[in-house]
Amino acid sequence: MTGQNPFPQPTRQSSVAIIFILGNVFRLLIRQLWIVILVVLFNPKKQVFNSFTLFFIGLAGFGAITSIINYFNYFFYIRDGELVMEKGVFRKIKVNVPLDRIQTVNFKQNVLHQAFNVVAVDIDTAGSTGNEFSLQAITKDKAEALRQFVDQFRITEKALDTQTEEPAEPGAIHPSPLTPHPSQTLLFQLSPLDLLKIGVSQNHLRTAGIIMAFFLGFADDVEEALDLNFSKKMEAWLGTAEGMDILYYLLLGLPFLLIVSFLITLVRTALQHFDLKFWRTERGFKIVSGLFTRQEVSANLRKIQLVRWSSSPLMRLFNMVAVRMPQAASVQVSRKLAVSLPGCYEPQLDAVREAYFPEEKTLEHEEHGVDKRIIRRQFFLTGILPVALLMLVTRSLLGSSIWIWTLWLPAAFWLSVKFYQNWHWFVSEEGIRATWGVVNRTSVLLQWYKVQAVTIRQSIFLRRVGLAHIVLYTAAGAVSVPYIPMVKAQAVRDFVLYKIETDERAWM
Amino acid sequence: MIFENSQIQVSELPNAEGVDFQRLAPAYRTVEFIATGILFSVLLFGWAMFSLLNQLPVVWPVWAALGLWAVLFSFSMYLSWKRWEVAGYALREHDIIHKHGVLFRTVTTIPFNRMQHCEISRGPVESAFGLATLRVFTAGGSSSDLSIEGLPVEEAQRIKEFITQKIGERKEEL
Repeated sequence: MTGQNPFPQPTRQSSVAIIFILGNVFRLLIRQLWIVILVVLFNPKKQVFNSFTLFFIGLAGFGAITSIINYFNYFFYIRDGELVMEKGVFRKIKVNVPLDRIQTVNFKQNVLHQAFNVVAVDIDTAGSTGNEFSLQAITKDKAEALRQFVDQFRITEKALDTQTEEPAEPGAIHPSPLTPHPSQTLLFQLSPLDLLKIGVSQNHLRTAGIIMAFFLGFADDVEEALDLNFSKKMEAWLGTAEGMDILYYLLLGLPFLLIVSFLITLVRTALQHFDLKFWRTERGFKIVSGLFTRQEVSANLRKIQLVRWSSSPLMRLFNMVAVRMPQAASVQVSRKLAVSLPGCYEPQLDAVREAYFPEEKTLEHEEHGVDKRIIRRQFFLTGILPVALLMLVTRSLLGSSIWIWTLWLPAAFWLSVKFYQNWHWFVSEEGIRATWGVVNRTSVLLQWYKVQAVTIRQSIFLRRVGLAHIVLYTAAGAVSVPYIPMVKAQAVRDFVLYKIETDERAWM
Repeated sequence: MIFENSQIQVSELPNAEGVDFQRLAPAYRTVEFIATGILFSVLLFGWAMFSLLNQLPVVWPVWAALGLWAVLFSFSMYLSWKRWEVAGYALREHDIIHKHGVLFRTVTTIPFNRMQHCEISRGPVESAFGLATLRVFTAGGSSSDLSIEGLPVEEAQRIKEFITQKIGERKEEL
């Protein structure tokens, strides 16, 4: 083993951690009792301090005290190649994580963390649930030392282990203990203009949906707590509006909702990805971003299962793509672990593709499409079905003018034809690249040896015409190609299986 | 032609279609019948109780609904019967193939060198008929996992041992 063990003795977290622990208890309390708090603040007359609330506050107090005791009983250290955590007051818990099982060591810093110069550490141990290891706050130097030690350990392990050598990482193996900081190059940094572009081209409709859901869900609670009656006021305001009138109000409200959503997404995106830095590290990639909460995610090339990039029409206008690199991990953490760039340009995408699949550019590909019959399916799913549903739902509201919905059909047909035309997949000896979509375009790059399972699926309709879907599953997401001839699907499957079964490389 | 670029002749690759699939235990069909029967009885019973308690009048839509129930019931029974006929699995030197599904014919293949572990589970009805379900897990805990229902217990155990041994061999190599 190389390098200095930064934690040979049982160590507590930084004392700042107490603040975060109490903060968590407080947040939990607020989340449970926000209605009560709202009432106390705005409507003091209403009697709310019933026994249940008091019980709850008592519970929270108890929680706070045990959390503090827990802090003093929480130790971690590294011994014999294992990261050990001991905790618990009444029930002692000891978790041992072998260092070579640690997939990634991720840091997170919110404003408070930054103020105290500490970081929260998240350690993922792919697959083994219950072994998640996280620290609320340790000083930044210690955290860096921990990560470096883990990395060093893995690198030396890997150098000893010739079987898992990866040709995919040029010059990645430096077992020298003398490199104090793993060499890394900055590939990309988001400028404020880029940030603006990304914010503008996000999916604002999704935010609108969330806002709607939020208000529909909480309006009742708030009404109840403040003795208000929104619905009555709304009714009074709308008067005896019916039929077309409601439609006009909707048309008035919609732009307002959209503007609010637009602003919220813009601000949220800007905060989340503020000063994003994208690094190529010795073993993979690293992304640091965020204004109030500095989040750091790193990915080991070996763990990256596939590369997916997509663009909305606005992003294409700016020549940008969003890139995601899902990593193999347990389900609970996989979302957090996908290294994702909300927007970057061609050179960065190329760098990622090159790193993940070095041979991609030199290998010859064969281009394939999907069957024309997919137009029918798309037209049914995006045209006929929604139109029929809308006509049914708005029947009472719109009367005979429900036929207005059928105006969508030509557009849907055009989109369906485009969908068929845009579906392409390219196979080479080592992998597949697929690209599809009309409004949002998505591409995915997958190396055969990352595949874990292959499924061929046929509905009765597809069976009749000899078509099938093929799905290639990896440890972090799947790639599926729809509507291809059964013979082709079988040929791909047999070839992929042959590749996996003869490939000795470690795929994760 | 597909894959003209590869040195490997595609036609000479082992073909996952050409293998002989092992059928599931005949008792699986009975288990499926029982499960479908229970589900539809519960539906009918619940509906009948609801109508009786609310003293709903017996008019023609009731008969239509009953007819629909009968059609769906027989269709589900037909599917249960077909399910056994369609399903099967095959073990090869390097992988396991499982096919199932009537409306959606699905064939899944998982190579042994991508499996994490496998286990056997038995529900109460399955146990009564001496059946078991074999589950194969891959990394990432995704939908790529495979589960073969309706295996005779001994057979399931034998496959499990075989797979576990295969997984073990690979781990030793590494």
